[in-house]
Amino acid sequence: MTLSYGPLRVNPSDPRPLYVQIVDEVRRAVSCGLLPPGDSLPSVRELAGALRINPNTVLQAYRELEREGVVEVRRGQGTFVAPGVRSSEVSREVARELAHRCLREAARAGLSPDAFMEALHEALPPTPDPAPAPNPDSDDAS
Amino acid sequence: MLPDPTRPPDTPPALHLEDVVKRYPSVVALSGVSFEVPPGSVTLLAGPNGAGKTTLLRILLDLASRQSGRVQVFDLDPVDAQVPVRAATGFLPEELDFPFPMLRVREVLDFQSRFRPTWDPEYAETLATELELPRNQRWRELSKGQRRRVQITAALAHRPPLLLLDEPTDGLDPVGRERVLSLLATHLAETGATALYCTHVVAEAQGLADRLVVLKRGQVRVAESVDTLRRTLFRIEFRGGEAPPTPPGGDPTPAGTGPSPAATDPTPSAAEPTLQRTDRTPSLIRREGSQMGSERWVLRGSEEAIRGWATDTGLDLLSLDTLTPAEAVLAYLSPNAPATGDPR
Repeated sequence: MTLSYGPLRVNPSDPRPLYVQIVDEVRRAVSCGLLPPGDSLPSVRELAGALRINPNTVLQAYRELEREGVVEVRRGQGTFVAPGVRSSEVSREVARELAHRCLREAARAGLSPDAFMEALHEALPPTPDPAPAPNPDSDDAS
Repeated sequence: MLPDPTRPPDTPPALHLEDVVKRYPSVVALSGVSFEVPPGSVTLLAGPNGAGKTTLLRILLDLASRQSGRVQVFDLDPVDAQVPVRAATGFLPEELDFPFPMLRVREVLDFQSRFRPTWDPEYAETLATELELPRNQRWRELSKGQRRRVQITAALAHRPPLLLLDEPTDGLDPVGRERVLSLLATHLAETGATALYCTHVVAEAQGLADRLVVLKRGQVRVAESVDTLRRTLFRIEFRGGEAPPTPPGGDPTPAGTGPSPAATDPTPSAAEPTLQRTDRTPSLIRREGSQMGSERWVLRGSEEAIRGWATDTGLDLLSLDTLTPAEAVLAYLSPNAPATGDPR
């Protein structure tokens, strides 16, 4: 069963440990701009209550995110998305994680990484025909 | 304040049980139970009905006697220190009884508060509102779920450092269960209490657990932190051949007769566990099934050791996955899972 708090979703029966799921979800929210730098994260109490999980697990996730520089803990105030966080870097981390998960699934299906990559390329939406290069002269044609 | 999960491993445990034996005239309820509960942790005590869970909780409060073994609750033996141990505990009994069924809910709470010096009337009020207690109804008129919610209020309102919860969601409807689990998580965040949570419905409470103790027929099957189990318990799926492979470390020995394949982990959950000797030599915990050409086994051991064993055995490994706490409990409850409680 999936439990949510805003955009953060966890599932206790997911094979990933709960703290890893929280870390992944916060990264995802930062990566897609739902949690911009400086925004506050829910308190440990709030998130543990909403997700019905052990507060130590939330704390563990927040510590991990702090180590990675994604969030900063301000004593007595709470946990915030680090003002200097580079969302492009976080996005890369989200992508890496997703890639690993996909490859694991592919391996389970007996697919080689190459076979999976090929299917991924095929599944990509067709790239639109390159737009005709703007005519640099068009503006001052008159 | 939240307890620091990186606390040093030499912090004394909140609960310590060593070789606890309880015999009733016709049945052995606990035969040499040993485990520890670190302070600030939530331990799920899982097992089928009749495993000895309720007896164990009653011994911790000196509501039942023991024949032998050592029991310490915050360094106190409940037999010698019944009053302080009970005062430090929020106990949610299995039964939904109250000795004075004529009393109204608010009177029941008032009655309970008299035995608890640290009772916080404001917090009791908050809990009563949160759990929608019918304050003016008499106990005897309450439904099972309502009685449970009154008991939960009484167990939490004095913010005890220890919670002993016996099937806390018993009698509650699905919405009530969610609300109580959420309330417990919030309560734990606020108080940093230690909890021993007994249940045979592990799936709904697994998100709360730091540690698992699996009890079956009065014996500890496994007592371990959830983190350690994530690193040392795996389900492998492989293509079944005509000749089944020999399980690593031989077949599990019948419960209670063999050597202990893995010692219980006495260190707190947050400590980085060093792999025990037994985790380098994988052992079979459970054969889950063999259908449609695929076999599933649950093995105890490090991932590296299991992959090494699979390669050496020439196994066609299809997958290797961690288990959720609920799945781990099931694996250890299987009929031939090895016992680690080492009855001597």
